Amino acid sequence: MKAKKVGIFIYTGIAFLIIVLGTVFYKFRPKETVIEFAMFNGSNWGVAVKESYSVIDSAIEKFEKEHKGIKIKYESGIPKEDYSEWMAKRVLKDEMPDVFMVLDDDFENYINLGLIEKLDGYVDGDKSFDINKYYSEIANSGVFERHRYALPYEAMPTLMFVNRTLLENLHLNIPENNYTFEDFYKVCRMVTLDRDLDGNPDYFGIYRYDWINAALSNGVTLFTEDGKNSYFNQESLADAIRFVKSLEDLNGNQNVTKEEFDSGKVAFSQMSLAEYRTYKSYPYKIKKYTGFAWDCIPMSAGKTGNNVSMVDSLNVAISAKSKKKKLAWEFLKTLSYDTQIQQKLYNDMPVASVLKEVMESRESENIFKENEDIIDSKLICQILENGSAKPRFSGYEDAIALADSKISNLNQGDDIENALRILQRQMSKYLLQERGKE
Amino acid sequence: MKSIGNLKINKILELMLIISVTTMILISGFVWIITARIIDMHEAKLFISRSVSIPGNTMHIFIFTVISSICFILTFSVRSSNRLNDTYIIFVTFIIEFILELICIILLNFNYNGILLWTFANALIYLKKNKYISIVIVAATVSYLFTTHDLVKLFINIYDISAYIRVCSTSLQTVIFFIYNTLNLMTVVSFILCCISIIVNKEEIIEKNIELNKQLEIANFDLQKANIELERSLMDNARLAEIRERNRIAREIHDTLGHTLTGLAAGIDACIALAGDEKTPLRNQLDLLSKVSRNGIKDIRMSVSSLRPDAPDRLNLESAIKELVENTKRVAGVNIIFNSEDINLKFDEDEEMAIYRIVQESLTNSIRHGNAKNIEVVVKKNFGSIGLMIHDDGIGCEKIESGFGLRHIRERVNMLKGQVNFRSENGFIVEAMIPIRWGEEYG
Repeated sequence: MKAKKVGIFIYTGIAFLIIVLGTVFYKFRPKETVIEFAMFNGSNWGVAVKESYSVIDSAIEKFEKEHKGIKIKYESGIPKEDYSEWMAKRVLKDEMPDVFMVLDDDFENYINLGLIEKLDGYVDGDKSFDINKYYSEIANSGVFERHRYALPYEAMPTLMFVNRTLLENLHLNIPENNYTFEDFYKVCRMVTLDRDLDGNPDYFGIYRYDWINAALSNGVTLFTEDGKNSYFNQESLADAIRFVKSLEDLNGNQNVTKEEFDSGKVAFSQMSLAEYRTYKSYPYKIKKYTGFAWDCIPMSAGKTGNNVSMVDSLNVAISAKSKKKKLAWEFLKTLSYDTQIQQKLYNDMPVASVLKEVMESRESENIFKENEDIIDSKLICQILENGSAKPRFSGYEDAIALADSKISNLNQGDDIENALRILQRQMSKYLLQERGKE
Repeated sequence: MKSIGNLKINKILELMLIISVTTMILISGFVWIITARIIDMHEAKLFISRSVSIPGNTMHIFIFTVISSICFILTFSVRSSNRLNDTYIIFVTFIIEFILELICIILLNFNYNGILLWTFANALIYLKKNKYISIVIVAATVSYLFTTHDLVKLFINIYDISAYIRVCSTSLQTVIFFIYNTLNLMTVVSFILCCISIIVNKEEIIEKNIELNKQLEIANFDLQKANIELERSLMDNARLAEIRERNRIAREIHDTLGHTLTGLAAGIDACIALAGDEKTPLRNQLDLLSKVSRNGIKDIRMSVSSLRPDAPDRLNLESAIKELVENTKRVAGVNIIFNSEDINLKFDEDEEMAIYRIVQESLTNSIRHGNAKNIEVVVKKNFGSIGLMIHDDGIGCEKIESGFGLRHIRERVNMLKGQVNFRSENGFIVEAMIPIRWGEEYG
C-alpha cells in the first residue's frame, strides 16, 4: 500500500516536471517566425515601374512593427513571365510561400489543387475586417464557386485615350464623360473625313478598341461566373459588334498601326490606367506621346449599357499549407486592407486602390490635379464602382480568343445574329469540353 | 509447433512483404525523382496545370515510406519470433502496422494499397481460432475498398501515378507501366496464394485431428481390454490367496489336530494293550474310543485332503474325476457311471476345481443322504458352456434344504457366473451350467 503511494508520487512528480520543463522550453523557444511572401518584379499591367517593391517593403515594415518577432521575407527579382513557373516549382517542392500574388491564369488551377486557403472563415471571423470596404466587383474577383480564396491588392480599370491636340486641331470637342456609342461614332466620323480628298482618311478615329469592351459598355455578360455557360446569342452583343465594325469601317481599308497612333494620327484608343499613369508621369512623359497633348475618358455607353469598362485586379492569396495562417491573414490584410498601404500604392504605383476609402480620400484627389487632366480620382472611382470584373475561370483567355477569331472576321454587312448563333453553339461545345458539365 | 504448411505460409508472407514494401518505396521514390526532374526541366507549370492533386513534399514522403517499410519488417519479425503467442504484443504490432499503412496509402494518394493485403493475410493466420475473425474480415474489406485508387478518386482529388509516368519518354513509360502493374498484380497473386495455403494448412490440421481421433479410439479400446484383464488377474490373485489359505489351514489341522489325534489313538492302543484281551467294559470302551479316534484321524485326513485342491492339480480334470469315481465306487460300494463327451476337456484351474468339487460334493450327498445305489455323472460341453449333471436313484427329498454342501456348490458355480439347479425326480439331480471363458478353450 505504502509502496504504491510512493510510486504514484514519483509518477506525478515526473509528469509535473515534464509539464514545467515543456512549458519553460516552449516559452523561451527561439521566437523568430518567418512568413514568406511571393510576388513578381515589375508591373502586372505591362508597364515599367521604377521601384516595384517599394509599397511591399513599407507594408512589411509596418507589419513587422505591429507584430514583434515576426519577419516577412520574399524573393525579389522574379520576372512576371517566370512567376507562374517559379510558383509551380515551389508547389511541387511543397514550399509554397505563405502569402502570394496569384495570377489569373493560375487562380482556378491552384484552387482545384487545394493550394489556396479559403478565406470565408477569416472574413467572417475578423471583426476588424469589412469586405464591403472594397469595390464589390473587385472583391468578387477573389471568389470562386461561392468561396472566397483571395483578396485584391491592386485594381486596373480600362480607359479611353483621347488625342486632345488632334481633336482641337479639327475643332472637335472632347466627348463628355457620359457619352454614348452614337456620340462616339459622330466624333470618329468627323475625324476620319477625307480632308485632302485622296480617297483615304488623313486621321483615324480608333485604334485598339475591341468588341469585348463595346459589349461590356452595352451591358452584355458573355460568360457565367463558373465559365460553364456563355451568352453569345444576344441582340445587345450583335449591336456592340456592329458598332465596333462601323468604327473600323470609318478607317477605310487602312489598318491602323502603332506608329500612326504614336505619331498622333489617331483620336481614340483603349488604354489601361497603368499605361495612362505611366506615360503621364516622369520619365516616360518625355519619352512617349510627346508630339501631342492627350488624356483619358471613360468608355462610351451603349444603348443598353453604361460608361463601364472592364476592371481587372491583382489578387493575393494564402497558401493552404501555410503553418502560420493567422499571421498570413494579418499580413494579407496589411497588404490589401490597410488604408495607409493602399494609399501609398495608389500614390506610387500606376494602379488604382481596391479600397473605396482610399480612392475617395483627399490625398487621392490631388494625384490627377498636377496637369489639367480631364480624368480625376472621382471618375476612376465611378469606373471602379460600375466596372465589370474580368472573368477569372481558367480557359477564359482561350474562349475569348476563339470568339475573337470568329468575330473579327465579320464584316459590317454580314448577318451578325446568325454568326453569333453559330458561335454560341461552338462556344457551348468548347466550354463543355474544357470546363465540364454544370 | 511449426508444421510444413506453416513454414510455407511464412515464406509466402515474406514474399508478400518484399513485394509490397518494394512497390511502396518504388512509387514514392519514383514520384520524388520525377518531381525533381520536372523542376529541372522547367515543366512545373505545365505539369501542375494538368494535375488534379499535388502530393506534398515528395522527399519526405519517400523517407516516411522507407521508415514505415522498416517498421513493417520489424513488426513482422516480432510476430514471427513471438511464437509464445503473446496476444497483446501481436495485437499491438497489428495496430501499429495498420495505422502506418493507412498513412502511407494516403501519402501515396491511394496509388498502392496492396500493403493492406499483407497485414490481412497476417491477421488471418494469427486469428485462426479467434472469434473476432469476422470483424477483421469486415475491417479488411472496408479498408481495402476505400483505399482503392479508382474508388477514392470519385470522391476526392488524388494524383494518379500515370501522370508522373507520362512525364518520362515513351519507351521508358512502357517499362515503368509494366513494372507498376506487375508489382500490383503480384501483390494480389501472393495474397491469394497465402489464402490458399492457409486453407490447405487448415485441412491438413483437420486430417491430422481425424487420424489422432482414430488412434485415441484404438487406445481406448486397448485400455478397456487391459482393464478387464486386470480385473481378472485381481480375481485370480484372490483365488490364489484363498488356495494358499486353505493349504495353510489344512496343514495346521494336519499338524496339530492330526498329531494330537494320532497321539491319542496311540495312547488308547497302549491302554488297550494294558487292558488285556478280556472283554471288560473298559476294554470295550477303549476299543470304541480307539475306533472313534481312528475315525477322527481318517476324517481329518479326508478334510485336509478335501481342503487341499490337490486332485485336479496332479491330474487333468478327466482323470481326476475318474479317480474320484473309482475311489468312491470302491469305498462306498455303489455303481457310478461316468459319461464324458469330450475327453480332452481342459479348463481354467478354478473351473476345473469347481467341476471337481461339484462332482465330489454331489457324490457324497447321494451316498450319505440319498442312499443311492447307482449314480450317473455326465460332463458335456455345450456351445460356450460346460454342462454337469449328477443323477442318482436314491430317495431324493421332497423339500430341498440347502445345507452346507449345496450352498457350497451354488457358491462355486456363482463365482464362475454359471447356473445350478437341484431337483428331486426319480432320485436327486444336480444340474450345473458353467460358461467357458472365450479364448481359453483348448482343442
